[in-house]
Amino acid sequence: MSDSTKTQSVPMTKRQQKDKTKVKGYRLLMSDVHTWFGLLLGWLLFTIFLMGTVSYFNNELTAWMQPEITAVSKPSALPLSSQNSPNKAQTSEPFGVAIAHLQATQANAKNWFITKGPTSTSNEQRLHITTSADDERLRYQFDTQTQTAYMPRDTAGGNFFYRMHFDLHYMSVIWARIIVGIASMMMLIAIIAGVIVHKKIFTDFFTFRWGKGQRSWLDAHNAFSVLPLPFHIMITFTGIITLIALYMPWGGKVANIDTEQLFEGIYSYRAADATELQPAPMVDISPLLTTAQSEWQKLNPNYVITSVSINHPNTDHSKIIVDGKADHQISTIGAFRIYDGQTGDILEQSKPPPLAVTTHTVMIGLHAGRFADYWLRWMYFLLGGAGCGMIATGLVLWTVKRRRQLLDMDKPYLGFWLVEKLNIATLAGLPLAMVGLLWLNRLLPLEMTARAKWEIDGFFIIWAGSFILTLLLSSRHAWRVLLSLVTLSLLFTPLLNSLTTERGFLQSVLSGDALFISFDIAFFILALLFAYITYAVSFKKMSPKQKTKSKRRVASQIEIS
Amino acid sequence: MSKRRSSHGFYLPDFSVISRIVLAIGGSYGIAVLTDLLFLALPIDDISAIYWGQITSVVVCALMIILVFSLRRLWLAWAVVASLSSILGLICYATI
Amino acid sequence: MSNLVLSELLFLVNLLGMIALMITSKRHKDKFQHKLPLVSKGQGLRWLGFTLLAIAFLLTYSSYQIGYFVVVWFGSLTVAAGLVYLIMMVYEQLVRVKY
Repeated sequence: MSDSTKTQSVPMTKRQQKDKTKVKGYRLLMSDVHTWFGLLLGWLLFTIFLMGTVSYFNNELTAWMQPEITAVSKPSALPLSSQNSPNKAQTSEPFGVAIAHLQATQANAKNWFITKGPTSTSNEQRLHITTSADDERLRYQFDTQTQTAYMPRDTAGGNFFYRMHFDLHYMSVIWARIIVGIASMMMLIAIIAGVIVHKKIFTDFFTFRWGKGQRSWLDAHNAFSVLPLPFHIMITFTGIITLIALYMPWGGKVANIDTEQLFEGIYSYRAADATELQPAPMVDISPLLTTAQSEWQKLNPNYVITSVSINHPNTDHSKIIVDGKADHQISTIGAFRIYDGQTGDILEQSKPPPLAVTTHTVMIGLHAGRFADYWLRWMYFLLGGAGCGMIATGLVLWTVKRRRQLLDMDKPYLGFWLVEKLNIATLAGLPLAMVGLLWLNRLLPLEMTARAKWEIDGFFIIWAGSFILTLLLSSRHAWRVLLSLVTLSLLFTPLLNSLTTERGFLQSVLSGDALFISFDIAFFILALLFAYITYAVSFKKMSPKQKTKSKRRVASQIEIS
Repeated sequence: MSKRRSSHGFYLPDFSVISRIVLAIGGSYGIAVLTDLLFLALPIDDISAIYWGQITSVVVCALMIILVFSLRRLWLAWAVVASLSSILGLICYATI
Repeated sequence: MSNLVLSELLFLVNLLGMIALMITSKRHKDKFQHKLPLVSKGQGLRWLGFTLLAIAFLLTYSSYQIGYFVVVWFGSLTVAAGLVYLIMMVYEQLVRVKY
């Protein structure tokens, strides 16, 4: 006897029927929760997700947007860091060279900050320097072997996308972070509700049905959501945790903890705000660095110095803050030491933090992904992209489902019209603005005043332009025009790059510039992706049968009223 | 849920929906705060209490929102939130 | 073993596991009935799939940076699933176009 006949011959009891309806009813209820929690701030969440995804390559983007800084060459003397442990004793020397350079060029700055970027944009010899004076901040790169300082054009670089991810723009950062926090909690709820709703979450794991309209969109939405589900839950949760001090400061307030003291015990940052400075010579810093590193390496042989920050150099209030981290550690905090700049005495030393603090910083580390090596960051990027796909397909699915229920296709109700227009302006307009920013980076004159600010303003002007275009055109045309613009602009970005810089594709191949080559290839692949998306969102032409069905519905409504 | 219309033809929101939304926002955040403070009552150092409390409060907040929307009867949702907050509030008041 | 080799190995084992799970999934089972007559409705192959994923997870313990490679395991789990998903999606479209 086969299984199918077995189930038919034993009808459900009344109890079983009631339970099944109850579950079905609960799923329907959670479906409403999922839709509302996802839809209300869905466009903001798409923005946050997209900005976050590209931020995994923040430093690389900044390097691309500063083409006058020559590429880092692969250091021939050092072995691959992944194979053997690198010659760790030498890593503190480049810092010493950088400090000597700063002593010679900017002895009166308020703060010197020297750090290593990720391996794709820096190596043992190439360090990133930021100096702050009262009215300006200089960011540049310094090659400690050739003793050359590379001054880039005035641009925010990839940092703009990174900050927009949680600080948004044109508003107070506290309010922005509160809004982002609320959106993230709504996303977390939407994810939980989505899992509850999804009846066939395992059965449909590898399912995609072509050409089935709403069903195909749902399959795509499911694929983008379920396959990277551990990532989505992790990223949303850790995102909230990263800014939790803003959302849940009450524990510290009730316990009467001096939060400044608490942070100073965990983090090495010290504000350079001393007044009444007297000039005073500083000790030789290199031996301090070597000692710090070797003492740290006694406890953990994988430790290296990651940054050196000097507050009020060459004054009597000078402080040297040395940070170290272990190779590939996930937590964002590591050991630090603060030396008195005049005497070289250790003023403060970090203590191993309690487990709760480590858990917190591991969560932040998981979210930020800075610990990841090149290939793991690509995975983060892909999964983040899947998250953007999840939100995008969800928002489009909402309109696809309700379009069939519309009485009159040409005059939808306000809610539908609003969702559709916002969809087009955000899902197509935002990528267009992002590529536009890259174009502005290449096209704006280098000596322009407030150049970085204009790049960003231009980004928002392009985005606003897409809004206006969406309102002026019909939805179908707006989709096509905006997505085609994205496709074409991505496709032509490598060409623009080769025309406006000396690091076009051919030159990059000839000089073995891996970073610029990967960017050109990435632009091309993204152009292909958007070409496909342009094709995918073209509306299915209504069959004659569907046309008469909706006409009849309208006619019957008129008859009733 | 009924779908009443105003004179302009907009759907008027139900009082029950607004009530549930207010309960979800206020109740979940309130219970999350109480959970955060609860950790100070535990025999652990203040810093650990603060950080563990923060992490747990996010989980609790999410679960409470789901709970408020899962209970079919609105009065039951209010009752659960009220009793949970009272219990947690009493514990916090007594121990901190 | 070095970081890159372990990462690649994790991805490969996860990929094999995902392929096994895909073959025994309700949606794609029928495609393989002729080529791979499955014993006891593919139970064994399904168990093999999950076991491979578990083996990959245990492999993370062979490095001294376990936390790092657990993250790599999670990431490659999804990327492997996504790759299998994409291949089947393209395959079904090509078959559809053929007929």
